Formats: sequence, structure tokens, C-alpha cells
Amino acid sequence: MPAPLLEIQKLSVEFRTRSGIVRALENISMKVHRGEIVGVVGESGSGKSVSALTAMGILDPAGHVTSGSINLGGLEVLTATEGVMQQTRGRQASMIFQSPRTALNPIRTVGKQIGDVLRRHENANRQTVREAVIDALKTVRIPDPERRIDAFPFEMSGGMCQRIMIAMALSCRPELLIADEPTTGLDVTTQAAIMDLIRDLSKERNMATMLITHDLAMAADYCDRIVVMHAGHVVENASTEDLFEAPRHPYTAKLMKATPHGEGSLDDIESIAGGLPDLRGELPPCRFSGRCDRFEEICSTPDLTLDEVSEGHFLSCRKPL
Amino acid sequence: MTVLLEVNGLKKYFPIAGKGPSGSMIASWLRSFNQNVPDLRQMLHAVDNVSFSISEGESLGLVGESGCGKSTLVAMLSRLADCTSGKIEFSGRDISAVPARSFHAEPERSELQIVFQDPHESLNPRFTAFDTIAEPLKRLKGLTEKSGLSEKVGALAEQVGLPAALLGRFPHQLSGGQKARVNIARAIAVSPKLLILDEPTSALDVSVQAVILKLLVKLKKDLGMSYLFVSHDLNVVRLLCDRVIVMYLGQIIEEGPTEQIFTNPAHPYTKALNAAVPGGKLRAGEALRLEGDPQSPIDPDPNSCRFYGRCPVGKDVCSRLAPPEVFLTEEHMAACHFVEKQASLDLLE
Repeated sequence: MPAPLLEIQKLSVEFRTRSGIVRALENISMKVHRGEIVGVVGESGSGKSVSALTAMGILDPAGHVTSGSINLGGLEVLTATEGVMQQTRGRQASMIFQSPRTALNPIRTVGKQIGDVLRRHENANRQTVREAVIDALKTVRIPDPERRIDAFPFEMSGGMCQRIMIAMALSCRPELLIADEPTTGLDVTTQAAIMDLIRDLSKERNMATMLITHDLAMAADYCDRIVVMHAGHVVENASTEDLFEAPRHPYTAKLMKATPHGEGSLDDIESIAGGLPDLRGELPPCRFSGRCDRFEEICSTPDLTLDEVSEGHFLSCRKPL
Repeated sequence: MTVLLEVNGLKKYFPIAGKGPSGSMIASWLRSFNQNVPDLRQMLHAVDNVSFSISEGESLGLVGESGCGKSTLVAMLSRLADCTSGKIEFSGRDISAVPARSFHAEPERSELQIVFQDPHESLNPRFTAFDTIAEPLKRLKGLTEKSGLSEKVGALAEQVGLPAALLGRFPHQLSGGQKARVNIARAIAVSPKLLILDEPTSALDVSVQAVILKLLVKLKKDLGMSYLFVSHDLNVVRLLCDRVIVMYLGQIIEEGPTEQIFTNPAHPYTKALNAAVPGGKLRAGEALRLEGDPQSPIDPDPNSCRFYGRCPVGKDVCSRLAPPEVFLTEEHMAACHFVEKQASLDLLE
């Protein structure tokens, strides 16, 4: 297997707040290969977005990386200078943010905003930029791009704005695309169209794609591999088929049981008792132990690691299913 | 079953500011003398000729994409907005005649309650959970501290599974699931007959969604309420509702029992909606995708199907003739020219 494009190893991130140190990520590892869509799934507060922001080098200054490494196509992101990262972002690695309406500048036309990315990374004059922007709009299937290029974000629907965000992210043909909940707040019909587009483009361009979502059903549809996160830990990491066929971590199994998926009745779905633990102060080695019904003495022994239990199936649990 | 709520030909048009001839002073002056002077302003047809009914103890699902008029319909039904025309009959009384601003004084106000969309946003940040739940009891039932307000709030909190210790907390001190419980307790405090739930779980994590859904089912059984369940999460609607209405651009395009809508949808839009529900890998099904955006809701052509242009089966006739309401069974209606043909095709296959 070729080397992964993005490799996160033993990454720990903490936030120093007035009320204590929040250990948002602890020893998380994952790989994203070219042409692969990796879904990162978990409840809100599980550290999905923090991982993505750290990988892009745009973590909030309040966050501190305490250990680990992030390798992006040979570049060590954590030690790279800001200048190098500015060259990398947009060109090698791009990100699609949640809620396109707030991520776009409301008082500039969408054409200008996409053009910004091109002008920053490519030596181009006004005419070629405009042509490239129109091309970018065509790739994300916006009808009538010649006219839409001069539109403002408020003149477009939510789905169109999200397409603009995608066009912006993909305009310089990045090798890595990180999509942070790209369809929250969109309709199911629009969601399906946007997700189809992301999948088609990432296969077409052989991009490495990281899809952050809380919707396990959607991840099942679009991802090749799924990383399940809980309270700043990666608890399970497996190919989509393996994961759905036989989830090994109790949290993954419970998450599947809690997701409504069409058939079956309300009795078939079960919620997960309790909430995420407070990430300040002392935490047990397995952060799920407080909510887990398979908890035993052995779970309290320190140094729980993410191990490969079968080929390509990683698990961090002492009492797996 | 007795009908609790009957809606007939309900319409809501919003004028587009400053457009069209009758926005002028002369026209509005003329209209002040004669009601029959037509309003020629450009109109946004948010809800256009919607009719349906809810029986006692029934839960009805309302689905459709954003901008299709769900929220406007909910605002009119809960009497927070006035309607342009049409009738809303609630337990035998026409409540559409009451202006929205004075509806709070009507007895129906406490019988028709609503659980608003986002529990994080819809709670008053300066009210404790106790204050929020107590407010409708004070306003609508005239309960005071003396006449057992605290006991009633305590009982409600228990009913929705909110620990009594949390009643003194402000919204920012509560989790999403707890806020949802406060919201529900507030709505059921005045023992409504009809509870309108506007996307009650869309802002919640999937881990707590199931508890809230189960709570809603339990409350419905215990209190004998009817539900109007508005959502775009079809997987959730399927779990909770007896009957489903599908809206598209202000009109009802399909209506029927839940299982039929999901297993045997007739309207092409409902089919696309079904195909777009995530989790398709868990179910088998071919992908049917809609292209483009819906038509403009401003003065739509009355003699054409509003889905035309996006519809995968649309033909010429759809742009010339408004689709008829075809009844596949007594309860299953779809508004489309091609429903019968499709149904027979499905049979042939």
C-alpha cells in the first residue's frame, strides 16, 4: 500500500481554560490515503473538528499540541512555519466549513471569493482568473456560471452556497480535502446532491478526503473507512463494511443502535445513557467506561492503546464485542 | 375518530415590498373603500390552498424541504400569524377568524401548543427552567405560588424526566437533551389537545435523540394528545407518525399512511425524497437525484405543476395543466399527472 497522504500519529491537544485544562484530544491516530474517503464520526464535543483544524494548522491559539505528529504529504504540519502553511492551505489541503452562509463573506461576490484562492496560489491575470472561476463553478454543477459568478451569497440558496464553498476549496486542485459537516442545515435532497458531488470529485481527482459528520447513516453511504471518536479518543477505526458488519467497540455498536435508519420501530433504537465525560481533570483510561455496560475491573488499568485487532481494523477497548 | 383540527383551503401570501401597481397610494386608497379592488402586487405564495385534518390522538408528519412553507403553515396553525384566506377549524370552532395578536386571550391558546425548533435558541436565556415551565401556567391558567404553581411545575418536570434539582438552572447550564425536556414541559404544561412539534430533535445529538422520541411517544399515550410533527428527517417521521403529508412549494403533493408513503411513494418528489435519505446502503435502493433548485414561489403559474423543471418524469402537459389529485387508495393521495401510469408500470414490473 502506498504511503498515506495524511497521517496523524499520537496527537494530543489540550485547551487551557480558566476552569482547568481540557484534554480535547489524546493520542489519536489516523491515516487518509489518496482516493479514499474517511469518515470521522462522533457526538458533538468528541474532538472531530479539533482534529481537522489541527491538521490544517488553524487551531485556535488557546489550543496546545502537547505531543504527536501530523504528516501531510511529507510536510510536518506541527513544526512548519506559518509561511509554509499558507502555501499549503488551499493548494495541497483544503477545507469545507460548516454552515456556508456564515463562512462566506456576505459583501463580496462569490466569483471574487473563489478568485482570491486562485490569485493567492497561482500567478494569473484577471481574465484567466475569471475563466478559472467559471470552470470551478462548472465542476460543482452550478447552472449558468457566467451569470452566477457575480452573485452575492445572499442571492443563493443554502445548497448553492455550499457548492460555492466546495468550488473554493477545490479551485487549486488540492490533494487533501477536509469536509467538516458539509451538509448540516441542508435538506435531505440537497444533502444527497452535495454528498454525491463530493464523492464524485474526490474519486475523479484521486483526492484524499476526510468527512466529518455526526450522521453514521450518511458516513455508511459515502465513506470507505470510518473512524469513530468519543471524548477525544479514537475508539474504533475500520473499513465501512467491517464496521457495519461487526462493530467491536461498545460505543460504535450503541451509536448504530441509536441511529434511526428507516425500517424498524421506535423500540429498535436505543439512546446512549449518560453524556460525554468532563474533559477536565483526571479521566479514566477508557473515557467511555462511565457509559459502558461492559465495564469491568480490567478497563481501569492504564495505557489503553489503539491496536490492530484484524487487518485494517483498529480498536481501543479491553472488553470488545 | 373525531376530527380535532380541520384545515380548508388555507393560504398565506406575502406581498413583495414596493413591486407592482397596487402598491401605489391610489390603489390602496381605492381598496379602503372597496374590498373587491384586486391586489395586483407581486405575491410570494408561501402556503397555497392547503387542506388536511388531524384526528384526535393521531400523529401527523409534515415533511418537505426548506422554503416549502412548513414553518409558515405551522405559524398559521398555532395562530402566531394571520392567514390570507382559508379556514382553520379546531375542535369545531373556526379559529382562523381570530387575529393572531389577540389569540392569546382565547381558550384555544392553551389547547394548541408548540414545541419550537431549536431548544438552544428558543429558551429565554434569563429564565430558569422553572420560570420557563411556570410562565404558561401563570399566563393561561392563572396559577400562583399560592395555588400550587411549584407543585405543578415539579410534577411536569417529573413527567418529562427532568431532575427537580435542575429546575433552578438557566439554559446555558443545561445540556441539549435537558433543554429539549424543558421545552416539552413548557408546551404540555397547559395540557394541550394538539401539540405542534417543529423539528424537535434536529438540534440534538443522535445519542439523546432516541430518548426524546420515546418520551414524546409516551407523553402522547399518557395525555391523549394529537401531534403535528414537522421534520425533514424522514427516518424520524417514519418512526413516529401515523400519517404523512409531503409539501412542495406551498402545496400538498402527497398525503397518506406512513408506511405507504415510505414503501410505495407515488409522487416523483416523494420518491426523490426517499432516495435521498441517508442510510441507503443499509437499505437497498437506486439513487434518484433532483437537479437544480425549486421554482420561484413568487406568483407561480396556477396552470402548471410546481415541480415541473425538476421532475424526472415531467412532460409537456405538466407546464400547461395543474396536476389533479389522484387517490391511489382512499387515504393515499398524490397530485401528479403520471401517478396512475406509474402505478400500473410498477405493477407490470
